[in-house]
Amino acid sequence: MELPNSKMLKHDEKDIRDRISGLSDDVLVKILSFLPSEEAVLKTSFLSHRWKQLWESLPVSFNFDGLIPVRYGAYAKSFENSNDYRCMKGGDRKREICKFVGWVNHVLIAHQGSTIDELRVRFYLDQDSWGYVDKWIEIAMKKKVKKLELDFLYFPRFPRAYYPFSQQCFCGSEFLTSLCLKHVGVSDDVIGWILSNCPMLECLHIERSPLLRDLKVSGSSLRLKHLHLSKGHYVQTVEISAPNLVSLEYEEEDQILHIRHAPKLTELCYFSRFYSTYYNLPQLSKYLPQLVTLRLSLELPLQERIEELPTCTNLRHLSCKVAIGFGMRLFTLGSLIEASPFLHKFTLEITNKYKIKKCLRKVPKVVDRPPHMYLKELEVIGFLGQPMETEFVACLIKSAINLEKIVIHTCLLDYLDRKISYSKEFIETTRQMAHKLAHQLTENHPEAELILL
Amino acid sequence: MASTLKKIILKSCDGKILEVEEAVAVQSQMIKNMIEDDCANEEIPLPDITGEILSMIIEYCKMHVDGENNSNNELIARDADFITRVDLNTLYYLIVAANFLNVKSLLDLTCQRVADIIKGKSPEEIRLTFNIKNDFTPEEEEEIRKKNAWAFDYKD
Repeated sequence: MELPNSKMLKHDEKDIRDRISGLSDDVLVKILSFLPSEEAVLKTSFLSHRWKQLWESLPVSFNFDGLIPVRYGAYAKSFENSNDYRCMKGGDRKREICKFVGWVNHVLIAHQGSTIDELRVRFYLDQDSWGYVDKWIEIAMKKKVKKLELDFLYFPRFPRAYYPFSQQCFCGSEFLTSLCLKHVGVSDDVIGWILSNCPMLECLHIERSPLLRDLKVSGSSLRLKHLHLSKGHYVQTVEISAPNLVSLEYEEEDQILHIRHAPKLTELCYFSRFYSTYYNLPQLSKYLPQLVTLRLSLELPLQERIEELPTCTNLRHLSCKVAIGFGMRLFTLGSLIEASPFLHKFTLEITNKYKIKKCLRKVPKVVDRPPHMYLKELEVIGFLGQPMETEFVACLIKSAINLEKIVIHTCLLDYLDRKISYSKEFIETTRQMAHKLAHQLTENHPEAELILL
Repeated sequence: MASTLKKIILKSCDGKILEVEEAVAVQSQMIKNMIEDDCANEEIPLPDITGEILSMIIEYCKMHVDGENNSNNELIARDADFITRVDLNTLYYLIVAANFLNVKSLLDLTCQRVADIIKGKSPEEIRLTFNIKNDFTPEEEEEIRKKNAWAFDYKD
């Protein structure tokens, strides 16, 4: 059947009544939900009393991200991506900052509601903007913000200045459940203050704060469930004692980590470098039996199997990011897998600092390892057919007798997750090696599914 | 299937009677509920929906039932074709009806359309487009401005 034509659709052309404002609140809210809230607030808050009232009872989430294309009102970016921005001259940059700050100011003013559920701000900001940032935080706190994220990137080659996150504008809050601070100066004391003044806080993410030294995340009544600490370059020690902590993401260089008390910890993501790992691993192993998910990044020449690993009875997902090229063997991982009898999925992510020229053509003979009954999925990212990794994968395929699925990505990333390009011939040999392994897999496990990427 | 051939009788506010296959009618959650509660055996009066709007909605639902096997992209294209041919007043009546009958996909489509019309327009243009009267007094506007003086150092 045909659709009615446009002429027939005209109801009454001379009708100039304001019908849209007559729609129910639910419908208007639905209409507004199809617009970014930053734009919707700016455009419709002051259309009339009807719209102003609508916004007054409507909780919103704001995402002020200066690095994604936006063109709202006075704020329109004149650069395409952050690289263009970095290349800008001082004056132009200043203008961009002014436009961005103006945009956030205008939207926050226009917002008539009593609640802001989420506030996220991400941009390169300079010292002149800090007074405004204070104001934004103040407004968000006043409007019972639940999730607050500040990410103030810095320009490389410029003197770094970090927005000093202080307790003056950030008064405590019984509403805040999630706080994320990236490139923001937050000190040990301020963290302590936040923890004791935000009783509902469940997520805390602190990245690249230059003010941290000896960080303590502890308190017997902490609600905190998720903690992320990374790249605090001057951190020396971290002490954690959090009765409700479920997941910990920890990525530091050479700090000493003490987990004093974390009875509910089941997810650990531990990325670290050389020396501290020697100290930290043995004491982390105390928590291994309770972990369900473990992500490790190891960049150390572990030659030997770790002695006296506890049995990781709960571990289901193990993921390891390994930098090869140090003559390091993957035995350590082998012993971790063997110590985890109920492991379901294992992911090996290989990164490399050096470009490799040759790769193996034959699957090496492997030693027999005790069979693993529960391992169902194996994923290898960055497979290159190197002796060490090939041997390791071959060994796993043999010992994991109930393997159901194996995924091999043959693209290699360097240690900064950049793709390394290799010659066609090299890639072909790598793929062949992956196929040979696959063949071995189908021989041992005729029903298993194989995905080569 | 026998059930798909069953007809539901709808009556618009201007007295138009429309017979609709059950499979099409159940796109409306409201009618679906009525059928489940066994209240759809007699004609269903729809007090706020004109015959013209009702036939458009049935058209839309039919398009979705018939197009069930089509690709998602095809349906999106048909939706777009349907909605861009609708003028503002009709759009308003469609929203009211889709909301009343609870046809979720049509309500989404029509609300999205209004949002698209708002997008990129200044508040003044939005007022003009939808005939929204600015009912703030100059004093009220001044009051809003004063309250937020801190941010007006940054000019457009």
